[in-house]
Amino acid sequence: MIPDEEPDYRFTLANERTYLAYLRTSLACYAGGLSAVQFLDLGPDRWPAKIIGIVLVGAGLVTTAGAFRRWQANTSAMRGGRPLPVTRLPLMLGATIVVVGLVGLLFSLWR
Amino acid sequence: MTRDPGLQPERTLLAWRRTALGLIANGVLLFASGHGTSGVRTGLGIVVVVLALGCWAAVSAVFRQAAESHPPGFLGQQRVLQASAGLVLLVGLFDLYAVITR
Repeated sequence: MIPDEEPDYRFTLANERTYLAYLRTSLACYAGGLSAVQFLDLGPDRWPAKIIGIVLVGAGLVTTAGAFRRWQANTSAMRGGRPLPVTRLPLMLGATIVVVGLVGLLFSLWR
Repeated sequence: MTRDPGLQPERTLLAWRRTALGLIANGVLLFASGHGTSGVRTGLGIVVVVLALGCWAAVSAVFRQAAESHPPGFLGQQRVLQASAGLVLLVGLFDLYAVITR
């Protein structure tokens, strides 16, 4: 077992910035979800915009929680001298944004 | 550990500030989504903007203080990051409420 040691603070700060970048991404998801419900004009019924909004805000919530867990995992990996853990968070985000974008596009064309 | 007077702490401070700006934008959107329809959403928007301004002020103050005395690993403390994740989660739940009740 490798003893824990304080990593170079530059790496600590880089890890922190990555975490903050994820937080901003989730804030952008929230803002996108709110805007969809507020401004998307998809006809008389609200449900398409509402579903887009709920999916986006949901993705944001997962990203917020995932960002913190990832920051923790990175911190302990750096302290223990282990390689950084892999994450599926960017995959999840990318997939969600592509699907939401396509659905939004389809609805706009369909109208 | 050698002290590096480089730009990393500054970049980190700017990252915190951008995050606070994102919070402010969400607060303004919440406020706009509540206007004229629901007093609750308007109130939540105001709460989020106030919290975001407080976050901005706190981060700036911590940075100034730490720049004078401590090594610049100061912001990366478990509790600060826990609190920020909690705040953003809270804002997300407000937003979810706004989206559902809209």
